[in-house]
Amino acid sequence: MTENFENASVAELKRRGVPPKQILAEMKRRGMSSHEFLDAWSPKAPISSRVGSRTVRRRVVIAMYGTWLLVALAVMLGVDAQGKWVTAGLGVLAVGALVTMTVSVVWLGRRTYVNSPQLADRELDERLVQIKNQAYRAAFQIFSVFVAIAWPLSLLILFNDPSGHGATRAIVLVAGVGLLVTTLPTAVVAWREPDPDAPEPLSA
Amino acid sequence: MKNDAESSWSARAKRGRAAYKEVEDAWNRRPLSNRVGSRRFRRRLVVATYAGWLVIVVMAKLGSLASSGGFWPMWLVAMASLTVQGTWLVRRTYINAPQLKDAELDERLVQVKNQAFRTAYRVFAVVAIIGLVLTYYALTTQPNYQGSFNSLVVLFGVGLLGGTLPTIILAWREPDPQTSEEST
Repeated sequence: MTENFENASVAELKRRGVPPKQILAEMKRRGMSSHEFLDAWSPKAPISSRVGSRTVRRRVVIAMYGTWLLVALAVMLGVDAQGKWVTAGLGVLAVGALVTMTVSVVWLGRRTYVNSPQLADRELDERLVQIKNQAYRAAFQIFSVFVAIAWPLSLLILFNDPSGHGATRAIVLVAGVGLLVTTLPTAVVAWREPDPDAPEPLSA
Repeated sequence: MKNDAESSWSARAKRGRAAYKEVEDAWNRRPLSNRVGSRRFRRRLVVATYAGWLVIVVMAKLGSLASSGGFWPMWLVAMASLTVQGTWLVRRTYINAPQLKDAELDERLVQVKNQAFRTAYRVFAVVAIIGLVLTYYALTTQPNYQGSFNSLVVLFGVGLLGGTLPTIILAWREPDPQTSEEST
């Protein structure tokens, strides 16, 4: 029985109903690191290689940022509009924002090769770690240019109208920066990664 | 027939241009310096650079309070930012790999460069969002000269960070250079 306990894995011990503290102590005794223990305690699903064609991925990227731009435009124009147009605009805005948020959450939540920037290095092989680093590099360059252009522009808008519509526009821009920051590395990988290899024909 | 002749001519011209570019690049390319100093020295330099910039910003702020409406405090911050960028980014050393082309670097340095950009992105993204909110706050609470000055200082600071961060991270992280005895 003791031998069984000493050789049992975390999952096995959990199944047997051993108290968590005792499992943790046993794993520490075996020299398991905290990361390894956490992975063993709540095992994650394997990373999916179903990443779709490059064309589809690029369309998703364009759709996501395009929707956000539409939302931003709706807010920019909506703050000046009056009456029923405002209501209609706000409705469109709500739908657009919902779509954008859903796409972003789905993108960032999936465990695929394309989403490697959001996964820990220890879950990836060497090639994917390099792809991840390259994606961050491209993202940094894109984001720097975005900040260099959008920030002074927003300051100008806010300076001209500090308390009225300028503040609303500024908030839209902050939201845009937040969206860009969280999704950009994944979007870069999705944009760049080639089509998955077609299955090789069976030899006779 | 005519098309074949044209395509071979354009291919030759393209090859010629590529060869010329290679020669030009090789001619202009200066060697990368491997004199990068010790890690401790580099880290002190990083701290001194940003601390120096902050001191200048404080001086400029005091100056702006004294001479409300003057442009010289803004120029002082701008010049300090440009000087820091110039000092760190112009040199051709291993530490400055993020500013150099991949073609000039070996495989290890390209990977080190990518890792530096990755860390820089995470830091810069957070700083940019906080800075953006701060500038808006400064402008809305003080829609006058002081508010504009404060927001521009934050803007310059974030710009400085965006330009220098990958190089700074590399300087901070890279180990001490091996001595000739160690390497043999």
